[in-house]
Amino acid sequence: MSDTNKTKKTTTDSASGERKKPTLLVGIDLGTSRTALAANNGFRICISTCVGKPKDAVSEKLFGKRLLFGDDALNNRMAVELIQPLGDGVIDTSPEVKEANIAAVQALLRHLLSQASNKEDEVIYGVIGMPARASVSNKRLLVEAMRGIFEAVMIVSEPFSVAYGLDILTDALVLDIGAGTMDLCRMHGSLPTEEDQETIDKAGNYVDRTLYDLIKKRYPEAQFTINMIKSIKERYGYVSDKEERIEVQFTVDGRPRMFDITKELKEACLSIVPDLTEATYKLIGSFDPEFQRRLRANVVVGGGGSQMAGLAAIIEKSLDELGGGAVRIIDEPVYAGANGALKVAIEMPELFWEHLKD
Amino acid sequence: MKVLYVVANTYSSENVATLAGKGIGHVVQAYRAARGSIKNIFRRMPFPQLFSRAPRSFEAVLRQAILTESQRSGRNLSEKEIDELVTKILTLLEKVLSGELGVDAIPWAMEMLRSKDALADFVTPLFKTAGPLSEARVEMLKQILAENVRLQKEIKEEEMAHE
Repeated sequence: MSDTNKTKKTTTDSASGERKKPTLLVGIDLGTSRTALAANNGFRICISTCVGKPKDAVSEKLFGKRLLFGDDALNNRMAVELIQPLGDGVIDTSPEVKEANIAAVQALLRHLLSQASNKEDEVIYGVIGMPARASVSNKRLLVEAMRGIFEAVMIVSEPFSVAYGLDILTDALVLDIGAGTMDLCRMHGSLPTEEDQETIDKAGNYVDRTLYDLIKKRYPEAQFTINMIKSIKERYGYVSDKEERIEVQFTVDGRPRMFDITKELKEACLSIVPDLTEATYKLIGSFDPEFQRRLRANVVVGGGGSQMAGLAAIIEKSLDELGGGAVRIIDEPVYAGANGALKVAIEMPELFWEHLKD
Repeated sequence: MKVLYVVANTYSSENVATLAGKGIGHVVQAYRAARGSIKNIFRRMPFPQLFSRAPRSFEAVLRQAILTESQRSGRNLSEKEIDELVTKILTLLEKVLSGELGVDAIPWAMEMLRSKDALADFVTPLFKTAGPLSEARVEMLKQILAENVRLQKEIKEEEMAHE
């Protein structure tokens, strides 16, 4: 066993003999739509990635707090200034919103950590998943934003953390379908490089917008919002050839009416499949030909988007062109990224964390 | 599994002390015991305070807890799977007490055992990798660290350039 393997998470500092502060390890999947956090004390949570600032003194008094988080913010969006700080899986740095978005991400993570940690003097180490091909500047921005929140923080690629959490470190292709991006990563027994990963800026949010437009086009009189469309997609989304009709209730001039959206929903859900297939072909096709079959035989799909009915079958069908393969949807897609990031954090020797402290 | 009795023989007293202060809903008591491997002591040790009518070994208590969780969560693990899990937990405890592994694994693992999806997604992989990390895995962690150190270095250099 190497020296590193023997590194212990003790509570005393062997050099000084002083008692170290308790340590909390957390794994975070900071997503465009949802943020999931898992901690080594058993706590875990998943909320919408948004922050609400009460619009005025009245709403601040009404809520009794200066900021609302997650679904609480979404559900009260008429009375708050709603900030959704991530776009395409990274902090949206458009000049007019950059500072507000950074502050919102910081506040959101502080809020989550305050729930995870119940000890005042706890030292928090975090591993955060980001899109596979996030730019260096985006990674930097996040690391900088996390100063003062974590004692030390590490960034890992989101699909890699999914794979790490599931212990799939070799001969696998991981597809992580989020709201902002779809991330693909091939695992071959070593840390994936840029060539092993793909990020597509067309994911759940794109499906929502497509569905919104399709329904609007067919039923111009119907009243609905993009949030309603998102909920419908999450509940009924499918890409299979199912027979049953999908009808939802919208209002027309305030009066409820049922609308058949079966065709529109399928078309919208299918809209991301060609890009996913193309990226899958690219990662398999550019892999060592002797090992391509193994990769095809172990395609793992996670992320909220993986819940669309029939997705595994449709990806599997697309693999026929390459000689066939096997696709499975992971059991716990929403937490898989956070679980994996937590596993990285837990297995990271204490000594390694020391390198990242300011 | 409210009480976890930890037998400390020749094992690191520091780790036992840490365990004692750790529990999430567990009271951990450290006992000094005579010779024998930790696993055998677990197997022999009665739990009269907890299970007054039928003293049982730690292994039996653990097995019953897993069986209950398995049924409650709908996983319905087979006898073989439960055997494997019990062995993994005992091995894990052994490693923690010998100081080979960090103590953080214990309360977390126990908490996860109680959660609905623990056996499906979390606990099994945890115990699967509960032993010392393979050299390949340590290398992977080293590379993750190196990438992050490089990132931080760049940030610091940029900050210094601005100053």
